[in-house]
Amino acid sequence: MEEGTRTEMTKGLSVRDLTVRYGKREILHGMTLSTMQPGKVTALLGPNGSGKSSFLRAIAGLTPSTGYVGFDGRDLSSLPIGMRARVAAYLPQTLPPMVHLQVLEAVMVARRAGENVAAEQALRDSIEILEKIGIDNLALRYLDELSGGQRQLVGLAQALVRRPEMLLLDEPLSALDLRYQFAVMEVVRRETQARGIVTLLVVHDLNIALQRADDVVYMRDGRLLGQGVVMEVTTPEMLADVYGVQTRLEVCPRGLPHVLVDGVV
Amino acid sequence: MPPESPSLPPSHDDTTITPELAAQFTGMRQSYAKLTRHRVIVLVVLALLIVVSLLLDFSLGPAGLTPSQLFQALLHPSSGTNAVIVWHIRLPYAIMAVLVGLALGLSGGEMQTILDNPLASPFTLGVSAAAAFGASLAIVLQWKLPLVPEAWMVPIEAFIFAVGSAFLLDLVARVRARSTAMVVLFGIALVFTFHAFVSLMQFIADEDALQELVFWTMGSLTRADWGKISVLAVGCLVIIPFCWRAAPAMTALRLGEDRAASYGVDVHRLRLMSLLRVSILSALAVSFVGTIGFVGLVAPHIARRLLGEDHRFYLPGSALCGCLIMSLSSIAAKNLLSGVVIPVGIVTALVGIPFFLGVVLKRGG
Repeated sequence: MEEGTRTEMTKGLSVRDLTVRYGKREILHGMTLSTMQPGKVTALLGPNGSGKSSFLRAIAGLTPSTGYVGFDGRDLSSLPIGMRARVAAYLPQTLPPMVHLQVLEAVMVARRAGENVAAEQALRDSIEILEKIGIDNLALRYLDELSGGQRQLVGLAQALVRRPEMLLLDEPLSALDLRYQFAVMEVVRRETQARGIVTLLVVHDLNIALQRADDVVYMRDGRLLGQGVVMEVTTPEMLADVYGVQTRLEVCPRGLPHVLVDGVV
Repeated sequence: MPPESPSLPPSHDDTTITPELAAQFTGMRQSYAKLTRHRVIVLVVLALLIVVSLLLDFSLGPAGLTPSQLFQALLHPSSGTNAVIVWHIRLPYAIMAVLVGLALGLSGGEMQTILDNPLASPFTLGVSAAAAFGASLAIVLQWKLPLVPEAWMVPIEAFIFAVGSAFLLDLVARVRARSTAMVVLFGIALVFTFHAFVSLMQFIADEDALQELVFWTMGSLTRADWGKISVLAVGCLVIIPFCWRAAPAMTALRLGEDRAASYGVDVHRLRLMSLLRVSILSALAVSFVGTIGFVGLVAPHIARRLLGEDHRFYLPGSALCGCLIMSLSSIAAKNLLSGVVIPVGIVTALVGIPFFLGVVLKRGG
């Protein structure tokens, strides 16, 4: 994407005054963000309980909310759940459970459960996505014999296979080893760019976010603290504000940003 | 095929299908086709076993008729004692066994998915117990309903309570939508509540009513007749297509509520419709033959092991396993003790309890 597309405000995900309440407790207090554009990976960062998951769920339409969620100018809240799911693929924080389903079947189900897709097409898409993520060797294994990390990768395959316009990934890296954390980020980046997806993901590793995301959104206590290009928004002051930690931001000889944490503020 | 992207590194390009990838695709497609074929074969074998079991159930019994006598009686429905045995006892019992097994196996299979609990079944969640209470009202209190013929009073009152309890379960599922464990606990509470009510009814019942009620709660195929068979068969025929249509969404639900919802499945509606099907099916089954435990619990577990959890195979498998278990139990009930027909509910409980413990212990370990 060129910088110039930034001015075309109709493309992408717009969120205005998004509020989520569970009972009387307000979790998100009217979050308004500038438009998130197709082809960009945005990392959603914030401490535990800051409302990141509620934010993603509200955008996906899985948690009741008030405010405006629009995609390419369409108001998503007016869409029935089936239509909304075609726009947004949401990956829950929990791992796919240990059921007696083969990986290939589980991915095919994700492709077919909500919309009419021919079996042959679903099979083709599923195999392709498994290959892309690098777990085609697991295709015929059962979910209840896989490790947590392997199941997390299956979950990602289930989200990607649906060819969404918007990817909402809630901690997609939490169960993965170091190598796969980077491999998954690479796949997500590549898909995001290749298909022009709006990708929003929650990660806890700041360094991965700094090095692999285009933009960041910082939030705390259900409020937006900052949004923008990673290295423009991320400052020691911001991190102190968001996480309450003292940090230094350094760029290594290879030009990659690193956060060093010195302690609690 | 996905759109081409110029900015990608060439190593992992989307669109180029390399020969290795093509070969792998063919290989995987073949494995998947093989798996599907295998499952269809398992279903066909189950169906054949049911046919064999039906034949055995039909030809074995305390009356000791020879195959030729049976055949003669079958061809001449109005010719003496043998014809009465064949047309009023053997055939209806055998067919009722299969239909009840089908209804219980299918409802158990769906219940375990929508409540996400391997111990869910019409029996463990109180549908049977509620039916027993309904029956006790008809048997002990002679509680009459308008427009209902005398002979149907017991099954209809049992049905009303069974459906009522299933809807109570559904109500709890909706109010506490986040917790399926709550539904299961509530179901267990229902079991105890209705057992207490039935005990109360037994306490106040006179001698004849007491005997009838106790016998009812044992679950027996001797209550089968063609009228009840027709009602149950029609119920199954009407409901099964809806189960089939919901199968892909049910498979998605096995992967978790959130996940299914994110695929565009309306989970709330799916649950509600499924509970509606399940309550009608299981209530029909238990109200005609009394309490039949464990079939709805055991059948889904066998189906899951044999066929996996793709519900297009698992649900028919669970239904067929239910048929087979009931049919075999019916044979055992007639032939274990010579000259006595044990209530079939006792047989299914004796077979089912070890299995139930096995499931509990396996999950504990």
